[in-house]
Amino acid sequence: MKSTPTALKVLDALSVLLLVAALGLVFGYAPTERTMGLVQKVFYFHVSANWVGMLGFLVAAVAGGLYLAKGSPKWDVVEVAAVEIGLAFSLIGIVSGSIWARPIWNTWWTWDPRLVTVTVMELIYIAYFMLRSGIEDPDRRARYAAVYAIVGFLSVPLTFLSIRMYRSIHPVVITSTKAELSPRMFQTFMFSLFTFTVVFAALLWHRVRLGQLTAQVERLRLKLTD
Amino acid sequence: MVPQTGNYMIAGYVVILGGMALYVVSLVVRFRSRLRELAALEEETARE
Repeated sequence: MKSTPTALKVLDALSVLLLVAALGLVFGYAPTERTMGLVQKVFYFHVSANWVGMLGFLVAAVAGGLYLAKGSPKWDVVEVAAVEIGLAFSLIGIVSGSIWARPIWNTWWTWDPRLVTVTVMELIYIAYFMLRSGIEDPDRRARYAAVYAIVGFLSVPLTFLSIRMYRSIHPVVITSTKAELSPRMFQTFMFSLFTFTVVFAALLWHRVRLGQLTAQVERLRLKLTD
Repeated sequence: MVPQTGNYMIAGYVVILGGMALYVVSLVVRFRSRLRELAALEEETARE
């Protein structure tokens, strides 16, 4: 495996700088919300983490489609990488949301439509790895996983739209017509979303490299056992 | 009066930033471990 490409190193440095800047905006630029107090500031990174989760699942579905269309194992590697990142960030989003809910809803958890759909989405993608681990043949594993990543993606728009389709106590901050945020809050929110998108790109690249390295190790091991 | 919810904010950011750091560490650990495995396998292939 070649050493880390310069472009990836630049992306890593940019991710760190953007994260520091986003934290600066959250704590030094965005005003404190009057009815919730400081815990409202969790919102900026909580939504951004969930955005990365959904973006990961979208990339996985696209990679799954490309695998089925072209049959190249590289798309299987991208798909696994995207699902893993999506899972990690969705979990961060769920836990941080629960912490926000404690002082605001007076409970850590409630069976609200958004909380139910996001949990189902998380479980669907945990099962993705269970499916993969249950199939030994690499081609069949990749093919089944690709179909699963595409079908499993249905849970993503359902999760996103759940607070708009059903009666929910979860806040709807951005609607199709306006954002329920002050200008400074909105700027901080958009910057956080951009930052997390760059972080996602960097992590995806690293995770794909790890997948390629793992494949290389497996190929060599098979060659030795033959 | 603004409610005192600073402790929850700190907990939230510990989870978010800590979770991200943990994931990055897991990537680094797994990558290094695979590199070690690859080196060992290449050595074995060269010997055969």
